Amino acid sequence: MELPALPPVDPAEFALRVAARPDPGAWSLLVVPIDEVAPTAIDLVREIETLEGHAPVLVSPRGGGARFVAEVERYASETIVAAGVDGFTRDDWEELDLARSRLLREGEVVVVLGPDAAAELLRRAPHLASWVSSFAWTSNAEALRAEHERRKAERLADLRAWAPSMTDDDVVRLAEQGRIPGEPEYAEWLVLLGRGDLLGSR
Amino acid sequence: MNTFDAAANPRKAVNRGFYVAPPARGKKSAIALRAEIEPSSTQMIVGGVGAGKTTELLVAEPEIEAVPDMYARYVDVSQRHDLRKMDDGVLLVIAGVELAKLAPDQPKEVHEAKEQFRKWERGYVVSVPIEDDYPEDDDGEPRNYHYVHHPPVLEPPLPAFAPGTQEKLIFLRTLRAAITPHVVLILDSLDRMTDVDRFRRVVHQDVRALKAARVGLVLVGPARVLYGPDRAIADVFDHFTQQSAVDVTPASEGHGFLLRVLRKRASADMLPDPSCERLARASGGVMRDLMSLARRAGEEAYVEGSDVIKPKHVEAAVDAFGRTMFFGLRKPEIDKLQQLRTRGQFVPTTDDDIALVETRRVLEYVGPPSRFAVHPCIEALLAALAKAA
Repeated sequence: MELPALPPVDPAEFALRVAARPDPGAWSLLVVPIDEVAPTAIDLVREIETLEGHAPVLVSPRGGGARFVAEVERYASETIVAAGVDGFTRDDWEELDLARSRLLREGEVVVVLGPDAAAELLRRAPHLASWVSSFAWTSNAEALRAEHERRKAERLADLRAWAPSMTDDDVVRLAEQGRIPGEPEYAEWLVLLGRGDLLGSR
Repeated sequence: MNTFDAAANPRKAVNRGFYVAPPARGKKSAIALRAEIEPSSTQMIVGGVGAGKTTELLVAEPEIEAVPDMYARYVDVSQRHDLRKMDDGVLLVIAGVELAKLAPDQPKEVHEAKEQFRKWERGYVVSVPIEDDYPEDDDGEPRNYHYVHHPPVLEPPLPAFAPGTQEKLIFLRTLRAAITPHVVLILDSLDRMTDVDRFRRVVHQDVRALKAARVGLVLVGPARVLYGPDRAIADVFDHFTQQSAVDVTPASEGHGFLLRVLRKRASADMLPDPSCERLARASGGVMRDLMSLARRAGEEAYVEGSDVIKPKHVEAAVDAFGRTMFFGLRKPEIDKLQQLRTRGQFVPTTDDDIALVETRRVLEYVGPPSRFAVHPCIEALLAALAKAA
């Protein structure tokens, strides 16, 4: 069995969560394949700008932990999207953790990083990690596909529970006969079964 | 949901009235009571990440101040000094600077002591005569001998004060004598120090010197001193308190306490009792995790367009939290967690074991009896992993 992965999220939904979050100083992580860190960060800035009406600050603290702390302090009240921590050493993460009190701020911080750096952050910076424990996601095609299938199965189960006398086959047959009931749940049921083409035959 | 911000400044949470007294607490915190009974005592508080240590210190500060003839000063050391460069002398200078704020400017020796601590704080320049190439003795005659050092045969259990400590202690005593009431310094953030040798030096020099100067002290220390030979560091302090995770066994005092913490921040309309109950259990009794889980559950409700945090939103939060805690774990660590989960066996001996405690994958509950447990958020994931193996 594979080890449990981080919860997957579509980048657009992630941006929506960031923009909608009312908490001052919240920190979150978006873990992506290493070669997607920079483009994801840039896309995220655009998405958040569209939603919030102003662009977050994109920082790239390649100078290490001290540089990261300085950048966070410099833009204390703005939303920050940080990318470029993947080269951080153990000392950098420990430095960041030691300076945690200086990372308390008004604006939100999103760190986009690769899997190895995320594992290091969670291992080497336990104080900072405790801020993001509930707010770490991954965004890669495979994880998103698996999440999409999981949500689909979950919703189908809900629909089957909603109309326990009906099976998937019953719903398809009724649609083919043009006798599908008018409730929107049946249309959704068909779409989830991959038979949205039958909706016109109602 | 901003009432559940896990990354918020604890002082703001206290000021907003979110503090709830933990179980078995009287009218005052144990920290404040000890300081009141023994104003010059030294206390060390040790506890896991997010256990609520800072909040307890912030609450204790005004409680001590409310006692006649007592001053209390809370200092977040990490805000004043780079903890990577932490060493002996730093706490004495911080203490001197804080006492200088309380001391009068007269007589002259007090003024000089205040000035001296300001110099140590900010740095200073003095002129030093350049030494001759040829050494001379005290009479100015050329020196035709050299020194041979014979170290003492007997070595005291604790090291003697270094010359720098002795010098600072003299000035600190002068300031201390100028302040009639008692002074208690509350020093936070030293729990983040990972270099135990440095921490030991700080304790052996600065903490002992503060005690010698009759400055009361409450200090947060690193959890590593709880395990192995480093435990002896705690013996230097008059009192040692371990602030562990709160017992979340249903019907326990701790469980009720966590429910009150949640209820203080959210009404039953927004957070119904079943969701509250589940959050309390899933937090493992770690305050910061309780806040973090509640906020994530609230976000799940928001994304779904619900004004109510339902149990399914809490379950989504628990799953996400557990997955993050699992991320980056290596096989030997997973094996240790499984051993603890299934057999209740865990003895933190190696750095990796202690790291499991520091990162809260393993929680310690102070007894009696004391016990370790895997964080509730990863328990189900571990069980599923074992079943699939």
